[in-house]
Amino acid sequence: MAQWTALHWVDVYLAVGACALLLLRLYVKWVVRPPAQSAFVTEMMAAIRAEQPYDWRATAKSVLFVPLALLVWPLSIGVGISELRKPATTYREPSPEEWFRCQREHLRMPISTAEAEKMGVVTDPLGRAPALPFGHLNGAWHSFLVKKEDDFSLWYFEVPLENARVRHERACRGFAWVKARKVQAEFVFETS
Amino acid sequence: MTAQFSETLLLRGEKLSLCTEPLAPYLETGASRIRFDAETTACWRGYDGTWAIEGKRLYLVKLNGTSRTPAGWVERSLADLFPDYPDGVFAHWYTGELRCTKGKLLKYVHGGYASSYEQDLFIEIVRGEVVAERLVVNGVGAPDATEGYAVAASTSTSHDLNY
Repeated sequence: MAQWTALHWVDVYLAVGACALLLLRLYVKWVVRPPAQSAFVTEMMAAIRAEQPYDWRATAKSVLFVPLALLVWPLSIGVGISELRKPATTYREPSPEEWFRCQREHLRMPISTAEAEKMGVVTDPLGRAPALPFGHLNGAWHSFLVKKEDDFSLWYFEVPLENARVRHERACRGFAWVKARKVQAEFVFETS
Repeated sequence: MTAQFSETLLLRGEKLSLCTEPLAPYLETGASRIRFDAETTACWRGYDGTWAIEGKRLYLVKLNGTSRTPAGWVERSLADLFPDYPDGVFAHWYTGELRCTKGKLLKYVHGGYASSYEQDLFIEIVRGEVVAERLVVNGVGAPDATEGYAVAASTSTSHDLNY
């Protein structure tokens, strides 16, 4: 039997590493599958990629990464396993009330429908706005009113500019149907 | 984002380039079922409004826009959005500052309304009524600088958006 040299042991080390990395790659691909993208995201990503020039630097980095990962394969396997053990970060669906401009902290005071309509009086000397509560927004106001349920109360709200810049980019004032301090519906009559 | 075409503001007989979108808050309230769609990347809002200040009030007096429907592109006007007010609409829903550019181009920025011009006229509006005005002088343009608001380039969106 031929004498085993140090080179032979290096070959064995690399061969075992290649097998281990391949097995880990197959495990990730076939067992730990990443969440499937929606058709919309897939199409969008394809469109973005189609518009971008081919990135040779990214390809070169990938090609260099493989021999490097193989050289220090025990470390690569360790990093891979620790990544697999990390809990997956998932997108948190916002609660329905988070979609409203008005949040709990923007509620100013409870108000009656009659008082609200008084606040929304619009008059125009040229007659270019309907003489109805909230003028051109009167239809939207009535659509808001019909959303009332028995245990809802009407509140006046103001979203200041500093808050609006973070969430909705515009300051606004309006009214909200509120139940247990949670906004159920909103009507914005003034925005900047 | 591509630089956006301005709207127009008629003020004291002058035709100014308006770099604010006072109709946007109205459309966001859901008061109208009409939606505008962009035919070009230089006008993502999908419409071009002409506004006027008359008697210290802000009015929308003309509107040209487009909507994409299954049948194709449909042209929209002020009468489509406000059927009972085809000649002008009091913009009582708007509170904020209008920015109008004047003079020569100082620095072109190919995004939004970010280019700077010799002068900016800011008009403060509260519920559709003018409460203040201020003119800011930004500098003096080069002799060969472009006069008035301009957008350098745009792309048509109609061919790459499918229904």
